[in-house]
Amino acid sequence: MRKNQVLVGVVLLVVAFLAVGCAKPPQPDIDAAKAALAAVEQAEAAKYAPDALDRVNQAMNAVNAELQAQEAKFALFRSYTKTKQLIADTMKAADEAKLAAADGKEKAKNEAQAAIDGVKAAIDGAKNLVAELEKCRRKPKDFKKDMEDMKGKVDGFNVTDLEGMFAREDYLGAKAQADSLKGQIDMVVADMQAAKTKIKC
Amino acid sequence: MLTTQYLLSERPAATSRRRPLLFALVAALTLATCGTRPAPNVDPTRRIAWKAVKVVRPSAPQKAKYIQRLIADAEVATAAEVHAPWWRANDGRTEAAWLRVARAAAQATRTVRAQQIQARERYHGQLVASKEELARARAELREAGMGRRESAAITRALVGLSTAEKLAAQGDHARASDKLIAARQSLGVIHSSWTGVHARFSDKTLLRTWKRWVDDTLQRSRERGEIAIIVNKLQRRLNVYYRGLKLASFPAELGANGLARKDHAGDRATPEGMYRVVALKQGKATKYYKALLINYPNDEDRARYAQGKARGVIPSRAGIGNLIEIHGDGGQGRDWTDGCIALTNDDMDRVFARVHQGTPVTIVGTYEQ
Repeated sequence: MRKNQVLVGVVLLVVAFLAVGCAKPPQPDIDAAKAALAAVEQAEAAKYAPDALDRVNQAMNAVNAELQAQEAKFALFRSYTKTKQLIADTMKAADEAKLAAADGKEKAKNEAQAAIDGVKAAIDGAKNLVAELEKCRRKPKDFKKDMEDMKGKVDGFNVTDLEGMFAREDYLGAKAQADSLKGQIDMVVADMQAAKTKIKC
Repeated sequence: MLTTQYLLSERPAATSRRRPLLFALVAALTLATCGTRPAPNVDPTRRIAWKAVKVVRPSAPQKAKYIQRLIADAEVATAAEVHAPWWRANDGRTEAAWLRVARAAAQATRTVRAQQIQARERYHGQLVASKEELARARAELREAGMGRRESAAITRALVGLSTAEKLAAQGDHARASDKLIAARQSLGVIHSSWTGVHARFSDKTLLRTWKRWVDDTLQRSRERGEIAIIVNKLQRRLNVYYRGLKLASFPAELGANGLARKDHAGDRATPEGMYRVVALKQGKATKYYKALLINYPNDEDRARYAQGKARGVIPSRAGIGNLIEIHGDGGQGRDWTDGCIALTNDDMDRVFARVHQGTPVTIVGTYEQ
């Protein structure tokens, strides 16, 4: 009878040990979280969504800290329920960051593209204005120098640089340069309009 | 049966004797394994470290990643210290880890800030130089000989300058400096053209020729007691002499390519040589208030033109040109004519009142220091 009781006790202990002692770190989930973080970095979150990237990193740090906390415990008392929750939070933050980075990049790209298109249209407008001024019959002698100057200025409007920056995905730089270029074109166009009015063309 | 009775009578007594011991063991085990110690307060360091990541990331992403890695390690160390059982406790590990974070963050921030200050100083230095060069280029561009190529260059420079200012406003002084360097290169195109145009004004042979023309003109003015006009192209002055003495000096504007010597029609250069007034025009006879027509081309101009044609340096269809005048409607502050010399209408009145047909007009590159 006593032997049976001891046997039952041992069996129960083994079952309990197996049941509790089997709590292992959720490695696939951890790997997935690490992969998600790498994907966020790949999506240039550091450039386009730095705050979101920081949130993912902080969430990942919380996962690692929790893993360490469980690791520090006696095997029988480990539980990875909270870790799984933290991993889920990390994955969510990573998805959000990836989305934010993609949105930020897309927004920067669209803004740069719109700015470049605006510049191209403005250059075409300036060229048309030069052509109109050239066709003008009434051209005083002192206007020749102005005309040459304006043609030169229009020659100086170049989008090759901008397109290069855009192709290199330097959208923020391309936008800044396109805005500057547009400002200069507008000034030259205003000068040409004033000249047109002055010579009554 | 006896055994059963023994067991029934003895067992509860034995269990009750062991129970406190068991409880003590379980409690000790629970405290040792599950008990947590208070977490060290690392919040300020954590906050500073993340702030450093933000500061460092734009210019040194690798350093930012390194700090992030250290933060991650420190978080793990903190968790380990808080949750580790007493026999595995390693006091000071957390502090050491966060100290590493703080040191790395401080060092990276210091380096980045120093780089930013350096870039900002470099940018401001470049900006001052660029603005000075821009002002010089604007002045040079107004001068004769500057054309379409130079206008394009100033446009490129202005775009570069404006982009640099935008980038600097965003804190990207390093790229802003690069833009300024490119802008200064464009401004260099203008200065180099300007220098090219002015190179002939230090040619000793030319200087001697011009001096001879001026001396001859003044000598004749002295001998004949007549008015003479001498135009100094480089200084853009029209000087009126009487009996070899300077009576008056007026600012003059030249052809759009006026600093060059006139070789043919359409080159917009102002001729150089010894000429005479051949006609005085006013009213409907001229579009430019009042005008003094000179006898360009003279014999020397014709000879040079023929030589240029023969050598093929003058376009085959280009004529020698004519109708070079000293006229009014000037005062624009730039060289703009097709080769004539323009004065303000007031100055033109003064000159017009003193000259007559045959008045010598000598046009030289330069003759005064």
